[in-house]
Amino acid sequence: MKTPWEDLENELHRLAPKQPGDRLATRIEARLKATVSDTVTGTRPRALLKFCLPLAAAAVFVALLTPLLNDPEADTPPEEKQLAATNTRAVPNVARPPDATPNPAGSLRRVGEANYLYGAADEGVVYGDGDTPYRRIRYQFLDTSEWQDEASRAVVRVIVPREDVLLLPMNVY
Amino acid sequence: MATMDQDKAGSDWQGLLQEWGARLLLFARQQAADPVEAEDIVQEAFVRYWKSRLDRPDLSPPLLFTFVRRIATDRARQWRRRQTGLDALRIEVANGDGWFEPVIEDRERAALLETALRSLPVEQREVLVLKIWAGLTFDEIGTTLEISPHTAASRYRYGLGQLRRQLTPVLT
Repeated sequence: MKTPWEDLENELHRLAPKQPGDRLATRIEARLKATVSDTVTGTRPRALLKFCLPLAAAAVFVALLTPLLNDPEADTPPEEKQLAATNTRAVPNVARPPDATPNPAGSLRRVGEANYLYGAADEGVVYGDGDTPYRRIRYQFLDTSEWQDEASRAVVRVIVPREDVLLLPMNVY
Repeated sequence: MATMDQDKAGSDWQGLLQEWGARLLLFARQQAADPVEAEDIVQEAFVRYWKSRLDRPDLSPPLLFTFVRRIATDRARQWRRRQTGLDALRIEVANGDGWFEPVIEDRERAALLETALRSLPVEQREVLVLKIWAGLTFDEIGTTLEISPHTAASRYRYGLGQLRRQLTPVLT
């Protein structure tokens, strides 16, 4: 027996819900991989945050402090430093000028260095400490350095892939 | 053996996402302020469901809709103030992003149906989505939405009735 709604139901059935994009599958895959690694190592996200965040903060502190301690232009006026910092942030992948640091192992000398950002993925929302939401962004870099043999002038380029995962706290109103 | 299990689990979740992803996203869109938030909710629900299923393989896929609903409710509670300020934006975003795959034939009619569906109250819309596109029974819909099956059936009838009233002058 035909119900009064049957035509309308059939018509609605013909509309196919939009498929989620590949981005969602990528984000889920990343989360599930993280889950598997948590299970294997027996760690929990909260424990990871508890121990890793202070270490990460210390690493950032040391990384920020080191250039200051070694800065040959330590006497530069603060305004110029601010301007320089702004410009550097705007062009993050500028190669550092070659330094003349000799390789302690032999005659190789570092002549160039550059970091290339080639990928960034928004992996969605994760919950760290309790209900605090974070947006997790994964950056992929290639760190390159060039070394020159002083005798033959041959140049060797070393490329090392690197991934940085950034947890950006989200505001909860 | 562990690798085989992991491989199987890896392909299983993709199959599950392939089968249920579109329907979950459509349901999440009934709850979320915008498509991006709907995707966030589906991601969270899917991961939680999958983790639960590792311990309890008997969990049925329709439970995914319950996860979506709970996560959406939690987020709405946390972000209520922000959401109320975004009502206008929500409508704009929704208008720019369809809920359904584009159809080749009779596009105008499909657009009218979608517009009419969007205009329904959320209580009716979510029941329609769960019944028509997710294929749940009224019992399952009741469990998902924490209402009685009878209420689910009433909302379904009201929803269809309202849709028909809206569409009849246009489509006939």
